[in-house]
Amino acid sequence: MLFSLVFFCFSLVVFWLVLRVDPEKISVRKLSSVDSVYESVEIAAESGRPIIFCSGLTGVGPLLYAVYAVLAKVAKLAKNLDVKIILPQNNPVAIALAERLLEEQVGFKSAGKGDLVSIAFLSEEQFAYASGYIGLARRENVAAAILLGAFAGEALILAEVGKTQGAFQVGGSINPEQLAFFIATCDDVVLGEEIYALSGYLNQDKVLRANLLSSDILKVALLVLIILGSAVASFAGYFDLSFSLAQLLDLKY
Amino acid sequence: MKLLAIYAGLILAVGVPIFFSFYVRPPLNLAADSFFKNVEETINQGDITFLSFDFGPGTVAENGPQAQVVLEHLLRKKAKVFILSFYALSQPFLVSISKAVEQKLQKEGVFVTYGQDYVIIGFKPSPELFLQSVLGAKDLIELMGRDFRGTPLKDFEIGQSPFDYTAIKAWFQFSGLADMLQTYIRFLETGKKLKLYHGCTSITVPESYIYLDSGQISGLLEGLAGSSWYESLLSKYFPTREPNQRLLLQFTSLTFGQLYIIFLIILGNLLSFFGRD
Amino acid sequence: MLAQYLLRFLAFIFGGYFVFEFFSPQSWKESLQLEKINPVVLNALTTVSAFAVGLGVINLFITHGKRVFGLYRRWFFSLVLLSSFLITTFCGFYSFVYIESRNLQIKFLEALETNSFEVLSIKHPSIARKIFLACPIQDSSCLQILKDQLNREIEQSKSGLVSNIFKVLSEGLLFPLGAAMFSLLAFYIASASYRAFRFRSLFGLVLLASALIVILGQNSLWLSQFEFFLDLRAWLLNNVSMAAFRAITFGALIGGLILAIRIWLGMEKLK
Repeated sequence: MLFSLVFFCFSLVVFWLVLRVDPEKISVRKLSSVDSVYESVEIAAESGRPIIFCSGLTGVGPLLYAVYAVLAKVAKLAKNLDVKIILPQNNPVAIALAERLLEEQVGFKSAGKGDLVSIAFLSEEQFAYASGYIGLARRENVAAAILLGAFAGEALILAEVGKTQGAFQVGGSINPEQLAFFIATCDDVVLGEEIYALSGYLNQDKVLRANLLSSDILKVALLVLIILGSAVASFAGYFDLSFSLAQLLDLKY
Repeated sequence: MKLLAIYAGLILAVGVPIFFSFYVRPPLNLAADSFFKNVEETINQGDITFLSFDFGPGTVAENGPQAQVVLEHLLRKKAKVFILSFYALSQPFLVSISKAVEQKLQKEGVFVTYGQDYVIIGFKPSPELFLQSVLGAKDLIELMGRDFRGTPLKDFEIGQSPFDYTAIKAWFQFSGLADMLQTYIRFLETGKKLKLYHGCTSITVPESYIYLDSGQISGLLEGLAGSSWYESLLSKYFPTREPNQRLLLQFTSLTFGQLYIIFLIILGNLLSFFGRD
Repeated sequence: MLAQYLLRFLAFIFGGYFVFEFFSPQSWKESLQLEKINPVVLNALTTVSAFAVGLGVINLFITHGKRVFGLYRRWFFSLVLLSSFLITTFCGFYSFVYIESRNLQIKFLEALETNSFEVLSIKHPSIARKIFLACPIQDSSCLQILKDQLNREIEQSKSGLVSNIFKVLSEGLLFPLGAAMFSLLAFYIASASYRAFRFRSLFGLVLLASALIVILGQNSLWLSQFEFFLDLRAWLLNNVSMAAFRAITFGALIGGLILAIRIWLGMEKLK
């Protein structure tokens, strides 16, 4: 418990410090999936068919915000290129967020292009959602699909539908076991945490860059802790001591 | 056409064992072996255990047999079993699996009584709320209140003595849902305060190994392969027991299906090598 | 502008509550009686989520209602969806209310064994009125007959028309359809394995070999009879695969932690 508290406080301090860094000095490595995201919209524009943006089973939380940051960029590009964007939803609250994002902030409504957005609530049930997605993707004959978020067993079903249609697909999930299915079926894959990095790269913003740098610093800190823990455990094992870093960090208070 | 041929081949591969009713002996599954031995050595008569059937019709093919074999094992050992679920679609399975196990045991002369040896609590919404309350509640019988039919738990023999979480010997959780296991681990302080056993689907096996290695779960059943090996161990430890033919048949179909997948992989590579993709 | 600041303030307060509740020591929780406050807060969250389902239902009706009334393409399927939704909801609620009202009456009758009718009728006047109409004198034989009748009605309603319709829709349709959708995975895995597992490079070969070892290790083929092979499979799962999964999980969770801090501090805007 002590470790959790210390780590949480450390995260707050790191984030606060990083916010004070000049964002121009924070360079972000370009991800290959950035080009793929743009390419998917361009392919949809060229073929005159819609693009489908699927957030899977993502509930309202940090991941959804990261996914919608990517959606905002994709939607802006789609608006400029007159591409229809379809959003199959599984969470009712996320519908409200998506509507506000697309109609007001991205500006489909004000640009008179409200009919280019189609937000459809399918189901909260995993496989009912998958069957709804299959029908939607097939009927609309989508040219491209972006699948980002949290996926469970239906990931392969969703990705395979696009694959068999010849759609250009970009897939990414924080669930590692679903990444294997996306690698087998998608043209480009966003690995886990790269969803957060992708949202940070696409939206050039001081806070988003600070987000990326803070998470990198925390990962390095964890890595140092892992190495230290392994060294202490090896040392204790060699000298037959019953001591571990885990015991120290697991102090109750 | 090519896809149709692939799908037809899969149907044949999976269907042959079912059609001809033959089954193969399941191979050793190390995780299931360890799971069984843990339960056999640590659970005794009268020990309080919880079973969570957090699966629906999609994953009942893998999680159902797991729940069945573990429930049978616990009832044979005369443990007190509380069965519940945090997934609304699992409600029919709570009753059907329990009844199936009860009837199977009764045929062998092992008498199990509802309300005395096991009770079905039913569906509980919001796992976060319930699991948080488990650690803080002084009497879990009062917390759970009633069984799935609305009968107060205090009316049953199993609910006569109040108990808190320290009396729970083990919690067995079967699920293929994303994030469900993590919810248990987050709130139950498993490994420290509670022994949690997990039955997963084949998709989530690699992820579950993380928690097995760190000790946050004390045992793991890997989908149908795990439950098949568990089933064979039950037959070994209880020789008069009639084996579950249906489970073995399912596992045989799975075996043939996996062999077919390997065949497709090899075929795809060969055709690609000879330039005929 | 004021609404935005108010929302951010509320988000900070409620987020702070959960942070405090998670990290505070047990003694602080006991002194602040958090075990009494916590269920109230969590129940409120569950209630809000339940109301959020209503948003989805509204969207469903708007989308499919337009198709039905405008007689757009495939309007019939939209009609099927809406009508099955309404029928399932009605049947579910009807059965629940029917059984629940009879259960309440049975509990009242059981409570009569230790409490007087007058005392109970103050607490539950509507149920007392129904029982008084059925048994004006409240003698034990009349009350027992009434109790048996209520139990029979509960059993009948469970096998009645409304319950049967609900059962057909849920266990007869929804369950097999859900199982069928999951079974699609097997076919898609077959086509994906034919297409994707290609030996094009060294990494491809390593991937292929690992996949074969893991599959064959849980098969009943002769390979799984060799202990070395099983140990190799276990090593792959316990070391190589686990390391990769842990790395991805750590990264995703840390990314989520920082983003959650941003949301908590009100620095997150959808743009």
